[in-house]
Amino acid sequence: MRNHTITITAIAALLFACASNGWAQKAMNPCNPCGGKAANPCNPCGGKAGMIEAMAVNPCFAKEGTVFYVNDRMHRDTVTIKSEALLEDIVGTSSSLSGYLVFDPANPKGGVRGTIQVPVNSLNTGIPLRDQHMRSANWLNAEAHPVISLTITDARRIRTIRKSTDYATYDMNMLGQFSLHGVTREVEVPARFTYLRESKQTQSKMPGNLAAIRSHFSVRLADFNITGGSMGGSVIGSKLSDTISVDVSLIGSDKKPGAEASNPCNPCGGKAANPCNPCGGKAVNPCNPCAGKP
Amino acid sequence: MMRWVALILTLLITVGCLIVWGATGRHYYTKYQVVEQVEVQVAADDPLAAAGFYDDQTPPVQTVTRDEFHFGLLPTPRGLFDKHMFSILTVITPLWAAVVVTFGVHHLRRRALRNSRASDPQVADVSGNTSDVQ
Repeated sequence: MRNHTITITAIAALLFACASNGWAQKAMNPCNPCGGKAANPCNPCGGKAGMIEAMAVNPCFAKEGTVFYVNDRMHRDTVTIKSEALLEDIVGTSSSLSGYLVFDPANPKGGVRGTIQVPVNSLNTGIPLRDQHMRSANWLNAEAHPVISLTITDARRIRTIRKSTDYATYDMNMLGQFSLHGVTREVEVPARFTYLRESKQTQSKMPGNLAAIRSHFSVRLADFNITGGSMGGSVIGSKLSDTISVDVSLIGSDKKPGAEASNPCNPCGGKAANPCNPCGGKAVNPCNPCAGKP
Repeated sequence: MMRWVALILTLLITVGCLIVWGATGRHYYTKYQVVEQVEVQVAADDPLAAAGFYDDQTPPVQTVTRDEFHFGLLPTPRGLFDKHMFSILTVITPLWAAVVVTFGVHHLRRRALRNSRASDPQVADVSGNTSDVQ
């Protein structure tokens, strides 16, 4: 009988050991600045968040208006995916959006152009194993198709919602191409677009004139050849809905990114109260590049 | 006696697990991070609110990622040594398996003892509850 008690105790101890070992794995996250890999605390994932530097603005778009760069170093731009299935609701998000918008404030009826990209690897659903499955070849195949993108080529049904000398808000249907899983399809997505002239209030968000977009649309997985492989039949419908809703919210600035990042003690731009702790709240963080400075 | 202690302990741990599961949101999977959409209070001086950016969205929502523990029914480990191994299934299954094995072994031992008593006259004689020795 004693043997059985020992067995039970050993199993329980093993389970707790597994759990505690897992907790200790936090520092292995490549996006964790304390993992010792990220030099810039405002861009802990390195190049993933800085894609705009590599993305050239389409010259055809650029001549149609002001270019607004989407590359918030504070990661406030978000794309949210949502699945509501029989057994489970899944919410995933990424704040590693990058790209640009082109808009002419003097000619709002010209609409919006541009490209927005999201790295597949940056999508987070809160469960690492699920993220791993989502990125695998059976689903989004992040290795072969690392980026989800929306290229806006035109806009129609542009309606003015509110307008003054400092701002203008429009509802519109954006036309363009949505690329996912290596498949590109023509889409028409509704959006709310706001242009803000630079002021003290807008500077609290970002320097420069701003352009903000909020959009909600749906993506049918089958339209993009996302079937889940052999397991897909049992997953789609029960754990994953066949149509995913997508919410995008982003702000672009006509100030080119990187302009404020020259100061190594202010890598997040000009808004930080403490220039030597620009990302806030973690002054004791050993990864703080300005640690020890007065 | 020990097997009854093991059974009671396992029952208590099972009930404890279910209580923790209920208290942490009754999720299917164990989670240490939650991604969800929450309503946000837009600041009065927010220039986007003044421009009507949120007018069609009442109330405005925001997607947040929070570190929050949810004890789930099922595990989602990426390896044996993963904190996501921790779940109701992985905690109570080995315990109940051990209890079942313990009771099973005890039952087999008792049966073996009964059989040996029936077939071994000396054992039967010692116990004094079988027929006379020839």
